[in-house]
Amino acid sequence: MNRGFLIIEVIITVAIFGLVGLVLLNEVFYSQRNDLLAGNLNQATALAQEGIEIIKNIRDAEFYDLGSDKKGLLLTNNEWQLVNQPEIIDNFFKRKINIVDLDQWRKEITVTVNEARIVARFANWFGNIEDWRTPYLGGSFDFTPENSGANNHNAQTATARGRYLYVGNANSNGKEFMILNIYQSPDLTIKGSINLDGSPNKIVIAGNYAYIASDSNTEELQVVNISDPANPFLTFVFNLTTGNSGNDNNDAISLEVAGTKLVLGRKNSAGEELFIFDVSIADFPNLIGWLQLDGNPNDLKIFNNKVFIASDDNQKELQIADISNPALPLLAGSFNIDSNDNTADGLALDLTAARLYVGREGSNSAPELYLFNIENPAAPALVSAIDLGGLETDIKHVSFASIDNLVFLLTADNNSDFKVISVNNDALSILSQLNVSGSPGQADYSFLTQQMFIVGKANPEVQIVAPTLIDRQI
Amino acid sequence: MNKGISLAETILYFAILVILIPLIFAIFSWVAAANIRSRQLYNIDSESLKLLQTMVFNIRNSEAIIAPEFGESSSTLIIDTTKYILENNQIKISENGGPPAPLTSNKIVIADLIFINVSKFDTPGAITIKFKASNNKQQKKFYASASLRKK
Repeated sequence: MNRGFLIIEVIITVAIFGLVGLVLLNEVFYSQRNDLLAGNLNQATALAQEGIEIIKNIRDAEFYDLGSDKKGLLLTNNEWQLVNQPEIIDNFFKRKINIVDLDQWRKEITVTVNEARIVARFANWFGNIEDWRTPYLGGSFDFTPENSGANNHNAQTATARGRYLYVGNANSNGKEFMILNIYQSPDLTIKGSINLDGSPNKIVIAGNYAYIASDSNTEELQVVNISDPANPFLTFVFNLTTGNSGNDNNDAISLEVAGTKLVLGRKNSAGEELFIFDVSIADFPNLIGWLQLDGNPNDLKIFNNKVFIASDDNQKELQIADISNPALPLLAGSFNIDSNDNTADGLALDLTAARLYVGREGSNSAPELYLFNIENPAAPALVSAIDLGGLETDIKHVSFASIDNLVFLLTADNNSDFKVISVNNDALSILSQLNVSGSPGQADYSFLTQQMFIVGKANPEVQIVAPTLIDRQI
Repeated sequence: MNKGISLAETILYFAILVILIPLIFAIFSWVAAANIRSRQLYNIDSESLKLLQTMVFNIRNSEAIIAPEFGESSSTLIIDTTKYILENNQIKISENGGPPAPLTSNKIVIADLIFINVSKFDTPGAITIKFKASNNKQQKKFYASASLRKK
């Protein structure tokens, strides 16, 4: 007797179909997953290849920038940099760089992006060595009425940062703030410019802004937006007044920015000399602290919440302010640079993590350049010093280039304004000197072009000092 | 005696069919959609990566970057006498002033194409390329860089 299907038969049939269905679904699912993984792997491989290409260009520029401490790449302001952290791309891909020194001239680069990995070896083919033993005047740039609104500018400050040189001209009918493209150096071109009130005494670049210490009596601090270097514009000014600082008209002469802190130095008065601004909002500095100093803070640099100040005070040529609490800055220490001449002012300085270079006024009886150990920043220890000559050797600018362990100086010595000091185990010696035309006022070293840009009031206003390039034979 | 299918069985089968048919339909729809998605993604990946390979190869072997200038970015790249542009959601190539020819098919849509001249000072030059490729609901970002080989 056929009574149709039993319920158990129905269940078995459904189970069989269900199982077959599950297997098929599984296949479809895994097939999709594999397609996705293959796509991601292809993309990761492309990103790894991109890493190699970028590092190749960095190698082409400077082989020794490929340091073994570098672990990632970062694109900022349309420029790739090697950084110490791996890079995360689209919240999914992690690009890690590993650099191993094979020998003095070769490095092995491994770029890993998720599962993709590419290894390449780079040699120092181009191999030019910058030889600062024989610097030469590599070029110049003249401000004219056509390019800057006036013929005879007094270029009194300059800052080289990335592909641009920012020049501050003393107030005139022409432009006070100039941006020069130095990428094709020594062929410089003007990228942008604006008029400013007063004369810029110091320009510091941080992000998309140029912060300027000015002698203007109503705009001691000026902020210029340089996000489009072809069209810079003044975005903020701060007026130091008797009400907010104890003095109305003294000039701002020095400035530095570190993280969210901006420190402005002003000529000595009955009011304060050092001002700490919060620049968390970059185009809106907010004055939060101030400190009275002895003497004029002629130059300053910040490291680890300590402000190192080159001063003309005869008992405190070097002063150190602690700005850990920016609302209550403190004078943490000072150093009386005497060395047989207590009157020579501290004029300029530059620092590395553990060393500080301070330049003084020229002296017939004392050295002009001093090297300090600042491992204990509140109590700098004098390590060595070098005598550059007599009264004519005021040090106007100090730049330290750690790659070559060299200190570049602009001095008032009219026979050899530019001097290169070699640092060897903390011992200082003159490596070379060069005379540039006129009596230049300021200078800055470009880490991009590895040249010194010197500015002054003689025509041409900008002069370029370059090292001799030697072809390395390998 | 053959009594045929009982009413209870009929109801049971019908109930099973009512449950299974939409389920099977849903599964087939999902599989079909997944297949389309997979094909779209494959199209995006294969076309975009092939495009990048072509551009990277050409940039590497070029003599000079004409545009964008150093440190600048643009949706147009000119190397030697070759020009890459974004037109009608396709990347097109024009050589020696000739008419632009598409490098990508109309199966994918290219957007936000940016060429950045990331050349370091005193080097043969380097270009970074970024764009988004999409196809209906699928979208991916692509990146590549190329350093010129000649100095």
